[in-house]
Amino acid sequence: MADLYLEGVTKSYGAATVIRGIELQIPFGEFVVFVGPSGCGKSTLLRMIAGLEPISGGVIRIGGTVANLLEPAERGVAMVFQSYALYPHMTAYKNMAFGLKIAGLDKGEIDQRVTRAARMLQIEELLHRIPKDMSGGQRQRVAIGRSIVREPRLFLFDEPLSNLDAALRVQTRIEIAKLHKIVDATIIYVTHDQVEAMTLADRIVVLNQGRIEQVGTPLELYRTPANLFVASFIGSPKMNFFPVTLEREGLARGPLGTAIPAPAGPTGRATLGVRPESLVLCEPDQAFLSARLQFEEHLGEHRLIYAQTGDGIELIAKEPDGPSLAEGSILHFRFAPESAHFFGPDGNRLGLSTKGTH
Amino acid sequence: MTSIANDAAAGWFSPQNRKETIAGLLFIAPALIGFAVFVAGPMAATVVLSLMKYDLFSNPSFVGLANFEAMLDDRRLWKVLGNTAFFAVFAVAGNVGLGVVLAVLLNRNMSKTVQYAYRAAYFFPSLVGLIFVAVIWQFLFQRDIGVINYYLGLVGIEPVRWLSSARNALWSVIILDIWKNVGFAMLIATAGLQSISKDYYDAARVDGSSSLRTFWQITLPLLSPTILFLLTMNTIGAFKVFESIVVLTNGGPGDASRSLVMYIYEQGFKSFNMGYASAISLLLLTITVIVTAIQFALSKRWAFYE
Ligand SMILES: Nc1ncnc2c1ncn2[C@@H]1O[C@H](COP(=O)(O)OP(=O)(O)OP(=O)(O)O)[C@@H](O)[C@H]1O
Ligand SMILES: [Mg+2]
Repeated sequence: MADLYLEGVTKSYGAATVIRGIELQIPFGEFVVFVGPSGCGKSTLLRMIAGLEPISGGVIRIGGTVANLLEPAERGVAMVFQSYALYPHMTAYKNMAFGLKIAGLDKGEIDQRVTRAARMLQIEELLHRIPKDMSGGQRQRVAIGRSIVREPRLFLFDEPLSNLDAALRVQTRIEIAKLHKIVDATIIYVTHDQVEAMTLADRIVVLNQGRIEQVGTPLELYRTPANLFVASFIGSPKMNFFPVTLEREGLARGPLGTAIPAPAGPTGRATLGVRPESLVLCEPDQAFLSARLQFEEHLGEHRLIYAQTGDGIELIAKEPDGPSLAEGSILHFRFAPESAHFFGPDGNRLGLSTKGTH
Repeated sequence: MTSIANDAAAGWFSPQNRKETIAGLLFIAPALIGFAVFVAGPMAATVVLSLMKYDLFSNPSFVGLANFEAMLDDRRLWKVLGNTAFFAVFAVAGNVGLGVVLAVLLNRNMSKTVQYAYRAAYFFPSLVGLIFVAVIWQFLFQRDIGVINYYLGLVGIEPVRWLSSARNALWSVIILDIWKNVGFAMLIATAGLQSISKDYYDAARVDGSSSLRTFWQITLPLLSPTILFLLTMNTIGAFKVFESIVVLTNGGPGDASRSLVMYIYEQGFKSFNMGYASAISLLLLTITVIVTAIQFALSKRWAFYE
């Protein structure tokens, strides 16, 4: 049974609707990541769940009770803000103890919880410093500490890593994953970094313009994106798209006239999606398409090939690394039929889940 | 161009730097001359005069510290000093306290129209000349024909002698001062409030803090630098209170509402004791400096700088 229910949740600021009818159920203990482009409403939705933003329509239920009108503190949620929002005039200890004191816990209990969290996050020696005297990473830990000590049923993270440098981001990401194993709680985590989303999530919710585009495990989203938006949003480098014509017999014909199997169904124009890692260099007679090399990026283990077809479509292919190709040469690509994704004119996926090789 | 270190080593008036130095001095000359003529000069003159006996008509004569000794026995001086301190304490507390409270109340979610209407209303008196304001309040405070007593009468309160009673006169001046200046304190406090990140308030809500607790434990500490600034500016202003009292009560009844600056004016330009007036001016300066220094020293304990 799910622990958090969002039923037809909407949010409008005046005439502008920023969240449009969100339906979502999250079982207790799940790690859910909201991803989407900037401005799609991730933070707004998170703040609505937290109770910091009144909701315009729909119902939010947490642990079986309707939470629409509950104050944040009554919802049993803890939140880690992008800016950390540590009270600047309080030491780390006081920051962590503030909410507990308000909740009426006695001194011994507060001390025990703060000390335990501090030990877990290795911030014991910071407890008597104020935020100004800590590094970004240390503040981040204290902010997480402040949320842990409350022992919430639901953790809310709003882009908690975006202020850290790359190395610290990876390290903290791993620690957040560990944290999820230790605490007995649901986590909702907002990010626009799809690597964070893929690595942390049990399930990912892809948001776009206030709507859910798709919900699924990272692999489901990667292998069977429900529409063009998810297909291009999940995966890095981005999926390549080519216009194709679907023919009657469940065949698609590409730019060079090569036929490839396509899902049976309506005929006509459609979009073929192929991930860069599925495009393989080949001989001209086997090629699905040809393109002129623009440039390469050598990354050691593999290289990224940027090329342009005769129709002016840009594509990216990910190949094992090797000696540089001749500048401006014509390259030929094929791909395994099962790694192809087809999308209809409305942008939705055609056919059943074509399980890709990746 | 040579490096700064070289320039410094060569000296300001060395051949290679002379031109730039002169240009620089020319640029600051207007401000420098203004400072010399209107600030440094009068201050020096005050110091010199405080050691003189000078009645504006005959030549000044040197009297040493006699003017300062005279202060010790001057009962009126101690009276007006007490008045000024009393005024300062309550006017500053009122202006800053009420200013902060108004700023907080008007910084919440509300219709923008209402918000700006209120802010403008509270700030408006700051824009009007003090003499105008004092003249109008002089009418409002009248015992028999004043509007204030009229309304008090409607709720059954006996007419109050706002200006003619020794007990009330100074309070009336304080009321006027707060009415006149609270809007400015509110404005500064509003600016301070708006520089506090909204995230702290969100965090406090998640922590379950009531609005009152948030005010005391989050807003006030984060606003403390602004409050210190307001305290200092208002205190310095309060020690100089003059025009409003002249218009409202002219220091009366007796000396009941006379301020230190009024007394300096009276000594200097009515009794022609310029030397003594200068000595009291120095006393005022000293008091202002000491009080401000104490405020800063104490603020280390309560003001929080990020
Ligand atoms: N107070 C507000 N009034 C009007 N519109 C708002 C308000 N707050 C947010 N919005 C709008 O709601 C939309 C969603 O904002 P939100 O902050 O949730 O985006 P986001 O997905 O978190 O983006 P980012 O990745 O940049 O943080 C945006 O278009 C934003 O302009
Ligand atoms: Mg956001």
